[in-house]
Amino acid sequence: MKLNRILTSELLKLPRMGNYILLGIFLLLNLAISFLFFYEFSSSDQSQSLEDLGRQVLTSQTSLSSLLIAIFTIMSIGKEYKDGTLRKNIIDGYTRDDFFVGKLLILFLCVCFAFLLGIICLFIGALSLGQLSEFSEIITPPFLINFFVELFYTVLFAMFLIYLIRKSTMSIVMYFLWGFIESISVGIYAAIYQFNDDVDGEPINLANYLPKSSIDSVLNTAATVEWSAVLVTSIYIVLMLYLPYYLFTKRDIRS
Amino acid sequence: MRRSTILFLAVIAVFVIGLISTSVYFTNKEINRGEEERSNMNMLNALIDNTNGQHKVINEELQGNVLVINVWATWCGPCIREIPELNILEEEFASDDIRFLAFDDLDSAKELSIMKEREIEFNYELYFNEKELIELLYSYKLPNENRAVPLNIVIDRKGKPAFYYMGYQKDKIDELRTYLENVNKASIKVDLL
Repeated sequence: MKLNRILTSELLKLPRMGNYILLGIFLLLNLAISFLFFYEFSSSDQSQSLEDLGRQVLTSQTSLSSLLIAIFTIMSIGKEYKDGTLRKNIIDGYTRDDFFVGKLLILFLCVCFAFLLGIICLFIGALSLGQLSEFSEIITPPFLINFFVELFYTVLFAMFLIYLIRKSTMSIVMYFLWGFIESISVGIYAAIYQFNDDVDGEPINLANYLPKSSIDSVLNTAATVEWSAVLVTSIYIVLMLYLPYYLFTKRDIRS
Repeated sequence: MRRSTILFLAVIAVFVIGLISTSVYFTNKEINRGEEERSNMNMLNALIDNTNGQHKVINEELQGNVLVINVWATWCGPCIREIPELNILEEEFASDDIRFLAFDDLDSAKELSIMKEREIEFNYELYFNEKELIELLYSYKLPNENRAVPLNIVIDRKGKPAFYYMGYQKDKIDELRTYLENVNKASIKVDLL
């Protein structure tokens, strides 16, 4: 019953100018990606395979949608810290557990919403350019699973950052910085391996072991994925669910 | 920590990990199936059939040979980068029954002048204007593989592809060397018998 109440109040917080702007950007860019890829595919000499198109669409759409949903997550929780509504909720009789579970549930619903919108945008692009058969071929179960999981994983990562830092702007900066540092590390490692003849054996895929990049390696449909990489990502998922909870319940709720 | 919260977090974790595992399982299964099918096909026969046996080099005369095929172009950086290593392989292993063939889809005059200008020496047997054959070679790419240049294929004596990979991969060239050494050893044994 309490959860129902907190969910209702979370839903009431959604219609905000900032969220409308994010939604507008989300729709606009997703539609642009959809039109761009289907137009490119329809006007090419068909040397590009549908599988390549599917992978390109998935990569672009997940990168963009993940970024927007991460900003949404950070802003939504950051605002609670900033406005002191967390404290108010607790005074109103909610426990921290109620609040955390309610927030996670509402974010889960938002991921489902973003996922559906992403697919609808692709459908609109395909329908407008007469590429419906191509659309149905690229929307495979792995495509759908990977799109959804990538969005949800990003939400978990963003949640971890905002509960850790408690300030929206700093968390968004950290989100970018973290991604940047991981990419640079993977690049430097690959360069060292490639140009150093003294290094023997198979190079490890460093991206498998980094929190933000591990999901991309695991959801890679271009090569076989090792189960050890799935294990590492699973550990990160458990940590990203538990650590925000731990940080939220053990620390002061003021920002 | 409340029991209901633990349960909720556990359900979410199991759900997401379950989705990931399902995706990985089906992707791996699909890739392995595709690789197995390709490695069991007779690629040489398929190439000959698809070119109606009319191609100037890929034809019946190549049956029983080992073919080391490279698809390249002068505009392709990784192709140029792997050429010195491929040249060494060619020097060591090229023979009447181990053929090193390179196919480029561009015009020979233009490509040869660029090669001269940039001092690119490629020891393979060079064939230009091979767009159709190149498209045919790429048609054996698996759905999971991204199309890239260079494309390296090794077809064994039975016509089956022993190697099929795209992009410059140093470790693959090392594997290729080991493979060709074994091919040579096997040939010597046959000769002795």
